[in-house]
Amino acid sequence: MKTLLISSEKGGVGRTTIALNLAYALAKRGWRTSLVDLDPQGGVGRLLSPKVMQAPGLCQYALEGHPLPTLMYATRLKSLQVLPFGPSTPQERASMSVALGDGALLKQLLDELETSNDIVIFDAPSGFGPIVQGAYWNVDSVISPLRADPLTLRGIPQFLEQLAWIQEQREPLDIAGFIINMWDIQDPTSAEVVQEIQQSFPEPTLFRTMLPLDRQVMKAAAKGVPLGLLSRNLVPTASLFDQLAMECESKLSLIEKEPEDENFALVD
Amino acid sequence: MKTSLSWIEPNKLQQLFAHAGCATRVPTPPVQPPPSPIPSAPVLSSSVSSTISLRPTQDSHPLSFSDFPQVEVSNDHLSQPSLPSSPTGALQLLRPPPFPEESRKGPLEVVLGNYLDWALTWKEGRGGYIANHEGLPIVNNNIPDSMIPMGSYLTSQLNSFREQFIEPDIVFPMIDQIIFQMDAEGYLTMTWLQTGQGLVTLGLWLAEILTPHEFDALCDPLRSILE
Repeated sequence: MKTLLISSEKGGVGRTTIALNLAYALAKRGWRTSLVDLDPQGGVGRLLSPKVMQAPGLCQYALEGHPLPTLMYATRLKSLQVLPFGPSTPQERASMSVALGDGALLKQLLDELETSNDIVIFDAPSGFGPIVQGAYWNVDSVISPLRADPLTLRGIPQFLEQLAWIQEQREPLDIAGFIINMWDIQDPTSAEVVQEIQQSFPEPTLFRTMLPLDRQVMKAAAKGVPLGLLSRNLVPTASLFDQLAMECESKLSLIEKEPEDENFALVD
Repeated sequence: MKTSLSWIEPNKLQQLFAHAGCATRVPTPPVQPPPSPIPSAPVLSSSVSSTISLRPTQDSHPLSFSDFPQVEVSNDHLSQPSLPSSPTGALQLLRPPPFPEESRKGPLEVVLGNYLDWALTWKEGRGGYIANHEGLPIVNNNIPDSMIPMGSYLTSQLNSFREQFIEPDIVFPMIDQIIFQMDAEGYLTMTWLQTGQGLVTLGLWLAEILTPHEFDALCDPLRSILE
C-alpha cells in the first residue's frame, strides 16, 4: 500500500480539489483507494455533500474509538472510499491536534487500511500544524499543489524549509512533486509564474500535468462530484486528472497486477 | 517583471530544494553548433514563436522557448535516416522535408492530423518514436503494421473532445489558440483553449529529444497555414 499526502504551506491552492479528483481518477483506474480528510474544516465533506460532512469520521475514530470500518464512507465507485473528518466542536478540533500530532494514531489507521487498499491519500490542512506533522511522519510521498500566482510562489522557500526539517526527523520522504494548479491562460501574470516555476524548480519534482483554472471545477464542487462525474461526457479537465493519476502511478511505483483470469478477453 | 522567486538567491533556492529532498536541477549544457557540411546552411531564428495562433487574442500570453540554447539547422536531411552525431559529439540537426501542399487543405482537424503525420514520419525516419505520457510507444518503428499514425491519434483526441461539447454542433472554430510546449526531456504539451471548455492539454512524449529549433521548424508549415 502506498500513502500520499497532499500538502501545502498556503491555503486556497486547490489541495482538496486535487485530492478528491486524483483519488477518483486512481480508483477509476482500478486502484483500491481511500481518501482521508485531515482538515478540521472538513473540506472533503464540504466538497461532496452535507451528508458526508455530517457523517462520523476521523475525529470519532481518534477521540471516541469508533471502529474504522464503520466510518469509511462508500462511494459510487467500489474502489473508492472516503474517511471524512467528521463533525467536531472547537474543543475536539484542538484535541485532534494532540491526538494526531505524534503520528501514532495515523500509523494505526494506516495499519488498519493496509490490507484493503492500494493507496491512501491524505488531504492535509494548509501549513505545518501538528495534524500535518503527524501525517508527515507516516506517509511515503508528498504532493504539493502550486497555484499559479505570485503569492504562492513566494511561500515556496518557507515550505521547502519545512520539508527539510521533516526530512531531518524521519527516513527519507519522497517528494513526488509539485503540481501547477489554476493556471489562468488569460492572465499574463499567471503565465509568467508558470514560466518561472518551470525555470526554477528541479524538473523531476514538477508534474508534467498542469491544471488550468477551469470553471468546470467550481461547477463540479457545486454539484458535489469529482469532475469525472460532472457530466456523462467527460469534461476535458477530468481527463487531465486521468493523466495526473497515471503520472502518480509512475512516481509512486504503483505496479499493475496481471489479470487473474488468463482468458481475459474483450469477447468470448 | 520582478519575478516572484527573485526575492531569494537562485543558489539558495536550489539548496533549499536539495535539503527538502527534491532532486536538484541539472543545468542543460549548451549545445554547440556542429561544423556545417553546407556553408550556406540556414539558421532558424530563436525568436520564432512556439505559439500557433488560430485566432490571436490580445490577452493571450504564451510561453516560449526563449531559454533554450541556440543551434544550427542543416538542410541535409533525406540522405540520413537517423540522428547523426558530429565528430565532436554534438547533435547534427536536420531540416524536415516540405509539408505537402495537398496536406494543407481541408478542415482544421484534418490539416492538424496531416501535419502531425508528416512531422512524425520525418521523426520516425530518424529513429525516433512517439510515446504517451507513460513513456510507452504510440508509434513503434519495429512493428510497422501496428503503427498508429500520430495525426490520427490527435484527430481522434480532438474529435473526442468535440463530442463532449454541451452543444454538439459546435465544431472547430472553438479553438482560439494552440500552445505547443516542449521541455528539455522532449515532453510535448499541446494546449488549446476551447470556448466553453477552458483549457485542454494533450501531453505526449517525444521519446528522442527534439530541439526547440527542430520543433520550430516543424511548426513553421502549420503556422504559415494558420496565419
